[in-house]
Amino acid sequence: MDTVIEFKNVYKQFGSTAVLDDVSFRVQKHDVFGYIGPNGAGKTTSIRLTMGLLEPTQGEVVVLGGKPDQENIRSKIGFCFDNDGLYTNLTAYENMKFFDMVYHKGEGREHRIKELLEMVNLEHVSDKTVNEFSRGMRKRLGLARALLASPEILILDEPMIGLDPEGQADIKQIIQNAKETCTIFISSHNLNDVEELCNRVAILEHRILAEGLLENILTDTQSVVRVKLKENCSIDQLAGLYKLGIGEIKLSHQEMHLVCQEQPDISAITSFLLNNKINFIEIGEVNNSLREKYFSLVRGKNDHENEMSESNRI
Amino acid sequence: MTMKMKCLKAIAYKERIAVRRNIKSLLFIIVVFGIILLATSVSKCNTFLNEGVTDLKPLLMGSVSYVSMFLSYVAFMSTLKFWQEKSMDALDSLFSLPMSIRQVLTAKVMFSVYIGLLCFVPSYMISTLVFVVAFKVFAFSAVHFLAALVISMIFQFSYGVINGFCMWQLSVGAAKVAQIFTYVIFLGGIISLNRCMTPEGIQMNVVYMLCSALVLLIVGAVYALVLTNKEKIILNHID
Repeated sequence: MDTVIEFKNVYKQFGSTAVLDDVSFRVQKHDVFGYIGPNGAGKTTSIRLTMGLLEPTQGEVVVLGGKPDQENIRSKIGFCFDNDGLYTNLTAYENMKFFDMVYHKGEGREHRIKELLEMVNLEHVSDKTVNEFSRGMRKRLGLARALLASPEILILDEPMIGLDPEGQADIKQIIQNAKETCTIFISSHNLNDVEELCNRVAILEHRILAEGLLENILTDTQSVVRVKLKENCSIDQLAGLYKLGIGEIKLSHQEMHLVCQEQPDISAITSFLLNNKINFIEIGEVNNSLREKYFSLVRGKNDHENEMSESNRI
Repeated sequence: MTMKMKCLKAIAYKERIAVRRNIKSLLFIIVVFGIILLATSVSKCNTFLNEGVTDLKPLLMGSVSYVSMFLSYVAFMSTLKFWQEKSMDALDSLFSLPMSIRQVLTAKVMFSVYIGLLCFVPSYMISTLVFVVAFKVFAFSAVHFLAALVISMIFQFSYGVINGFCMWQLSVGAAKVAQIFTYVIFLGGIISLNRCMTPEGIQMNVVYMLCSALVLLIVGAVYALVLTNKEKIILNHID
């Protein structure tokens, strides 16, 4: 299978801050790739690296077999950034025309612009300046602009953010249609959307916490029991849980996640907590969803880092 | 069509729309400046006549160049808008297009130089006609015209490149200092043209200053083009 985007051990540092730390992943042709992570995890930096706007401090980014700053490579990428990047003093048509003149690939372009404006349901406002548009309309126009180049890769940074449910449904439909012809890279906060749209996922928090086919990531998820505690408790009080087949205990903010190697015995865990006078509000097994996987990875990492910094202080 | 031409055409299309939307205010500014410049030039030549100068032609040729270059400068400055992409948060998308940063920078400057050129030619013709009417002297020389045109274009192009570099890549403080410095050189160079012609003849020291200003701006522009860096512009914008 062809690799269209590849990050090879990429480090990106701004001053003394490492935004990306040994990031490696591959996006294959015709993937709908979901790139998820918390705010400031390095998602937009990764997109800028893919677009050739930034250069890695170390490592290599390969897009369509070449360097992303090559013009012939960039001409095959359609993009829609979080801030849409449209010219607000131009009309929708003029924006499309400007970007089309850069990509221009032959005759019949007026028809293509009209067709795309119709597709995103903006043909009736094509002569209105973009500063009169709502956020959703701008997003739709940004997406139409991204498709102008008939791209091999479509890069979408937070495509659903700020949209009402109807707008989100429109964008999802456009993405569903676009995936027939191109590889799509979606950076998003919205885990449900990523789960719905993407076949491959990477979870990022400065480094890749998990990457692969969505189904593999979900089936790879170990059984996790979540316990909402009434009050804080120490990890020493919970040591006995290891005897019940619990592989790992993640404790944070009156909530604990028990990672089990086998099918968890909820009643045994409940008895243990009651016997040890650990008051809790709720106990239950966590579903195998991307959301749970994401939170177990991101929270787990943060907890681990907190523990490290605590021990450093000592 | 080469990528350079595509880029130039696309940028010109976008900038032309912005100019077209503000054409009335642009024309108003040019007309007001034109009237002021012509009135002061006529007054200056009258002073020379009163001082006993009989051959006004060299003085008027200098004045014609000065008026045209100044008006061309006004048109150029009014259409040079590097802040636009920054204020619209469009730098990321502009630089993601298949065009190099230098192509974008030079295309934006060349469009404004073109507008300056469009203003230069009629300004030259009109001021020549005004002086014919006022002094009955036809102060036109093709060589003079071309020299003034080329100097004007080099001034504008160099200033535009430095201005773009400063606006996009430097911090606000550094950009202001660099812009004021180049602005003084640019404007000082044009204004010195007016001081160059005196009843005693051409002031060569002013001519040397003008040439120095031109060289300084060209060096600055080349330096700016060499230093232009996409990553630095993006990071500066994020900051």
